[in-house]
Amino acid sequence: MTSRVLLYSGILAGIAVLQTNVLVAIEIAGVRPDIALIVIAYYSVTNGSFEGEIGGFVSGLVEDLLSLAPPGFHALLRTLMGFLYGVMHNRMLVDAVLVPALLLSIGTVLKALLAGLTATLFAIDGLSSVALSQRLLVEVGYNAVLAPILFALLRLIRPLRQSRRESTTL
Amino acid sequence: MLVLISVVLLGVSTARERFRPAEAGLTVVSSVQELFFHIGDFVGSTINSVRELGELQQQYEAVLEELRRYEGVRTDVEELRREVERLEQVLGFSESLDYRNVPARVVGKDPSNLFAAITIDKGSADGMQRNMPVVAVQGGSQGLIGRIETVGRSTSIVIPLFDSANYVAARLQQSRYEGLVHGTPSRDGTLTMRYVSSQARGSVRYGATVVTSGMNSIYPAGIRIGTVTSVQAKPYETSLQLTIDPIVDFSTLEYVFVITPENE
Repeated sequence: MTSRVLLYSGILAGIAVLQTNVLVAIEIAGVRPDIALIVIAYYSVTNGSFEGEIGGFVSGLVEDLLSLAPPGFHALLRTLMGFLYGVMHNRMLVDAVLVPALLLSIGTVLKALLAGLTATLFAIDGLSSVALSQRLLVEVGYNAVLAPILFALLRLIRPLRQSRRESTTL
Repeated sequence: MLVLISVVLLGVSTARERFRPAEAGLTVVSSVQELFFHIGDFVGSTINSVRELGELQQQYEAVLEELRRYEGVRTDVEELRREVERLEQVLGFSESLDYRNVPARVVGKDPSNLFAAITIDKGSADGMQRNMPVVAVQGGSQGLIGRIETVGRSTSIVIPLFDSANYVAARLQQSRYEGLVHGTPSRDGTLTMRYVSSQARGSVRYGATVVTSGMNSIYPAGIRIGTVTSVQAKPYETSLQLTIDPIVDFSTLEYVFVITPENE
């Protein structure tokens, strides 16, 4: 479990950095897909709330360092999202397209609502209206489209890790 | 029998002038020899041609590879030439600015869609400090970008003008009416100027330039912010609200200039 947590934390931290520059190239109407959220969703649904929270926290913390957000803002959001997605662990069958798209559509809206709520509670100026602006619709669509693709890619990591473990044991 | 022998002898002796067995034999053998020579020549030249074709194919592929390499080099040279032009422009702009400045390159944006940070490649090691104003030059016009919010050792985070939490004291360049400029929550690329006195109603024109007023200690006076695109004037309100189109296109931002204090 420890190696898996480290692997996913590393992936999520890397994605947070990539979202600042490389992924800017795939912006649509000034909106980038939330790749970190998609990975957190997959990781939490597959491994449960505890690991989801850790992955979410690490990802959020790195984002906080690179962002104008007050430290802890993204860490809180991502940890909560990791927990919420983790609740679905062993409770649903994740198919190839529909469930990932649905998970990310609902998750993106939920994230925006949580961001708005946090911004209101902690008096972060102007953020709640940004979180719930029309840009949210673009992000929901973008994440829903990319979710099945990234879920399929992430499914490849598990057999790779298993085969490596088996070869090490042999 | 004797008659037969005589006839044969006669025939041989009379025909010697026209028929030579050695020549006949040579003709037959040389024909076969010639045939084999031609066959051999044909086979040899065909094999040679095939070999040459193979060599030509290899040479063609080598030349093609070389061409591709040169194509890559040409693209690199083009890219370098453009980079040099950009840097020359940056240097020229840097020297043309009225303020002491440090040129910086934009290296990143905010990782989330909720905030609007711009990361630049200059930090405390380069003398950057919090609240230093940042400007850019695009299309020959100098425009305000924002101010430094967080300083790291080698990078800094800039809070841009279009962030709704960033307020800039501004004034209309011609009519001199003052107001506060900030971004809109929708981040549609426009800015809002609030608290402009309603007395300005008659004098605000579309396309009028808005500049920093210098009323707070962060931004020096006279830096261009944008131009007025619409005026919202309600009779019951004591102030006007203007929509501003920023001078700088933030989506194509590559280089910026951090204005540093004169006494440093």
